[in-house]
Amino acid sequence: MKILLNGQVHTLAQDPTPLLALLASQGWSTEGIAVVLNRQLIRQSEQAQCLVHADDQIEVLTAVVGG
Amino acid sequence: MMDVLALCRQSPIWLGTAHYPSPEILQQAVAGSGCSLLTVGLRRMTAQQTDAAWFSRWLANSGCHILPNTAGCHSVDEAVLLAQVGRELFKTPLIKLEIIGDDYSLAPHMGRLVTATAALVADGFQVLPYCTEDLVMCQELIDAGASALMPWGAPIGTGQGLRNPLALAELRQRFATLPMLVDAGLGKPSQAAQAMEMGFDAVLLNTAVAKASDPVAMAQAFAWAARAGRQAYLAGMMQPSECARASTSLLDRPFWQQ
Repeated sequence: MKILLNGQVHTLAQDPTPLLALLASQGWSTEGIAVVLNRQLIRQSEQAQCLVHADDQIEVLTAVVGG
Repeated sequence: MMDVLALCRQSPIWLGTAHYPSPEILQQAVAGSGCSLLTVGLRRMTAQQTDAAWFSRWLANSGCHILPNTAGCHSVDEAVLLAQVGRELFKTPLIKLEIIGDDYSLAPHMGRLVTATAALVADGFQVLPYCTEDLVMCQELIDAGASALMPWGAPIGTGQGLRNPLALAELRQRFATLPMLVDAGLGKPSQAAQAMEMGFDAVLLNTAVAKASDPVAMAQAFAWAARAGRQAYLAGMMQPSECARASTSLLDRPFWQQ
C-alpha cells in the first residue's frame, strides 16, 4: 500500500501497518517526536495502538531550533 | 496556567534557539544572560535524523521554560495543529502563535491570528501571538483571549530596532496590565533598553544574539540593557522639555554685577 509520510510517497508491504513499525522502519524512536495522522494529532499514549492504512497522510514532527 | 508576567520578571530577555554556532554556545548564552525561556520550532523528521530526542533532552536540561512556536504557518488550521504538536511534545499550555501573512516581510496575518487565538484558547492554550503594533487588531487578540501580546519591533532577523516606537508606546499604554514583549527585529542592546523603558515586560531575541561575533557576550549585553530599561521604567523617567533648565543654580553667580 502507498502512504504519504512527511510529504513523500512510501510503499508499505502490510495494510494496515502499526505506526510504531512504520517509525522503526525509518530508524525513528517515539521519544521526542509527535505524529499527525490525516491532520489529527496522535497522542503519545495512543501511538502503540495506532494503525496506518493505505492513502494515509502521516507527519512525524520534532522540535528544532527556532525563534 | 503559567504566569506569563512572572516569566518576564524572572528574565526580561527570552531567547530563540536558532543560528547559534553550537549548542554549547547557546547554553553559555542562556547561562550568561539569565534567560528563563527558550523558543523552539517544530518541523518534520528527516530521513537522516535518527535521534530526535537529543534536542528535547537538551531543552529539558536547559533550566528554561520552553515556548514552542508555529513558525512557517500561513493558515489557522496549520497553526492550531502545530500548536497541538508543541503541547504534546513539551507538555506546556504556552504557544507562540505565528501566522505569516506576507512571505517577503514575514509580517503576521492579524486576522488569522485572532481566529487561531480564539480556537486555541478554547482548547486550553495560553496564546502569545507574534503580531504587529496595530492597536485595533491587538484589542481583538486580547478579546480572543491572548495571554500576552508580542508585537514586532521590525521584521524578523532584520535588526532594525523599533521601527514604529510611537505606536509601540501607545500599545503599551493602552493595554497597561497585559504582559507585553517586543518580539523580532531588535539588533542592538540599546533597542532592548528602549523597549523596556516604554514599559514592555521583556524582549524576545534570536538573530541579534546568535549572529553576534560573541553570542555569549551579546546575550549578557542584551540582558543588562533590558534590565536597565526596566529599572528606568520603574524609576520614572523625566519628561522631555522644550526649554533648557540650568542644573546649577543661577543665583549667586560670581563675577556678576547688579
